[in-house]
Amino acid sequence: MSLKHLRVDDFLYTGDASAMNAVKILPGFSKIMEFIAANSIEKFYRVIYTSSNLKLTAKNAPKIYKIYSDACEMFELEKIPDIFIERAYSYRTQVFGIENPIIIISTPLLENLSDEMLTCYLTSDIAGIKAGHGIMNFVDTLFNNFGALIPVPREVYAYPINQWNKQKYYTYDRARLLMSENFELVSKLIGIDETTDGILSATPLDERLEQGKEFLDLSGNKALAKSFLTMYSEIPWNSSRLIDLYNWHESGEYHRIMQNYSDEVDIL
Amino acid sequence: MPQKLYDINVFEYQHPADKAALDAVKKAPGFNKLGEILAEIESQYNDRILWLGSYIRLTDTNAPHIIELFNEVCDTLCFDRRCELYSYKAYSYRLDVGGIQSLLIRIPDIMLQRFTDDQFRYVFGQVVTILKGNMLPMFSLTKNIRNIPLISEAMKPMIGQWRRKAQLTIDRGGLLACQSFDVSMKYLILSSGLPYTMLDEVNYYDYVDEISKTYNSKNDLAKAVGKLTQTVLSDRGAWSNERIVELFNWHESGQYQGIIARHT
Repeated sequence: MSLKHLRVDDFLYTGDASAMNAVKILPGFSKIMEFIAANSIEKFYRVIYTSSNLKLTAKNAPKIYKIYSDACEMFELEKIPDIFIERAYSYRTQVFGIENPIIIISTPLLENLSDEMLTCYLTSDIAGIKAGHGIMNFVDTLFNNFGALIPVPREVYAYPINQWNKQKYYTYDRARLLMSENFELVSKLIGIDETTDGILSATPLDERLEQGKEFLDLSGNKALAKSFLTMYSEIPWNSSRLIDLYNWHESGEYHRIMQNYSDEVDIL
Repeated sequence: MPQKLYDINVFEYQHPADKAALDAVKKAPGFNKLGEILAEIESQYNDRILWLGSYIRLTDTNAPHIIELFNEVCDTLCFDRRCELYSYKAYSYRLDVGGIQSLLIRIPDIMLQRFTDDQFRYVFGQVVTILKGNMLPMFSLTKNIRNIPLISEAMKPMIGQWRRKAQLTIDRGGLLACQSFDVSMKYLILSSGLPYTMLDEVNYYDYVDEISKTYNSKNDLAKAVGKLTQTVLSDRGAWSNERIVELFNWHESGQYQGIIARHT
C-alpha cells in the first residue's frame, strides 16, 4: 500500500519530539537561529558539501536517484532535497539544513543495501526532514564548527542534543515500518552495520529479541553501569531499538495507523 | 585439518622474553588479583553491556560454522571453557577478548566477510592462548594502569613490556591452532598493513629477509635510545616486524615441530 499524506505524528517517536522540544526551549535558541540567518550559515555549509561530496542526480546516478525520488514522492515533498554521498566505512545518513535541507548518505549504503533496503533507509531520512531533524543536526554541527562564535555556551546544548541524537533513530524505525510494512526488513536494518548480511539473515527474530530482552533486563549494578553508558553514548542501543519497534508493532498502534490510512484510501 | 595437541600447556610455547617480563612483574604482590578485578569489572560493567546492547551475538543458528571453528580450536589446544561470541563493525583483523567469570570475544565484520577457515583458526588460537594462559588480568592492568594512582611509575614500563612480549607467545598459539606456517606468517604480514587482497601472492620469505636486515642490525646509541623510548618507556604495543621475525625463527628452529610431535 502506498502511504501518501503520511503524518509526522504517526511516526514521530515521543522521545524524539520531547528531545527536540527540550533543545528548542533552551536559553539562547532564538539567538542561534538569528546567528544562522544573519551569517548565511546554511549557504556556507552548502558550499562545503557541494565542494567535498558528490551530489547524486537523475543524470549521474539514475537508478539510485529514482529510488530516492520515489521515496520523496511518498511524502509529497514540495521540493526534492538534494542528496549527497560521502566516503565513510559505516552505514550512516544525515539530514541537514533548515530552509533547504539536504541528505548525506555514506558509500556503504549504496554498495551493500538491496534496492528495497535502500528505499527503506532513504524513506526514514525524508521522514526526518518532515519531522524537523534538519534543524537539530544543523545546530549540532554548528556548535562543532563555530562554537566560540555562537553567543550561547556550548555546554548548555551538548547533553540535550546528544539525547536527541539517540531518540531520532526510533522515529526512523517507525517511519521505515510504516512505509515498507515489512517488520523483518526494518528489523534487519537495525544492526545491519554490525555484522554481515548472511549472519543477520540467519539470525531468527526470536534470538535477537531474546538478546534485546537480556540487555533490557540487566539489573543491579549492571543496570547502573548501563544507565551511565547510555547517558554518554552518541547512538542508541540496537537492542533497545529493536525491542521498542517490536512492542510498537505488537501493541496495536502500528496496525491502528495502517488501518486509518487504509480507511482514507477507501474513502478517496 | 589441525591435529589435537593433547595436554598442551601454554608454558611449553611461552616466548622466553614473555616469561622474563612476566617474572619481573610477578615480583610485585597482588598484581594478578588487581588485574582480575579490573578485567571482571571491565567485562561485566562495560564490554558485555555494550556488546549485548549493540552487537549481534553469534550462535549455532546464525553462525554455525564460526562456532564450529572456534570449538575446534578449543579442542585442538585443550581449552574447555565456553565463550560468548559477538560480531561488530570494525576495519580490523584482530579479535578482542574479555571477561574472567564469563568470557567474551568480539569479531570484526570484515573478518567474517573475508577470512578463510585457517585464518579463523589462527586468530582463535591467539585468543585461546590468551584465555588458557590466564593473560586477561594482566591485559586489563596494561589498559587501565595509567588510571591507577597507587601503582608506582616503575611498574608501568614493566607491565607494558610484558604486554609486548606476551604477544610473541600469543602468535605461537595461533600457529599451533591452525598448524599452517603459511597462514600464520601471512596473518602477521596482514597485521603489519599489507592489503588483504595482496595476501595470496605474498612471499613472506622476502618480507622476513627485509625485516631481518634492520631487526638484526647493530644498535648504535640513537637506535638504542629510540628503542628504549618507543618500547619500554611508552605505551606502544609489540613491534609488527618483531612478531614476524620471532614466529619465523621459532618455526625454523624446529621447536614448533617438536611440540606438535610431543602432543599428537
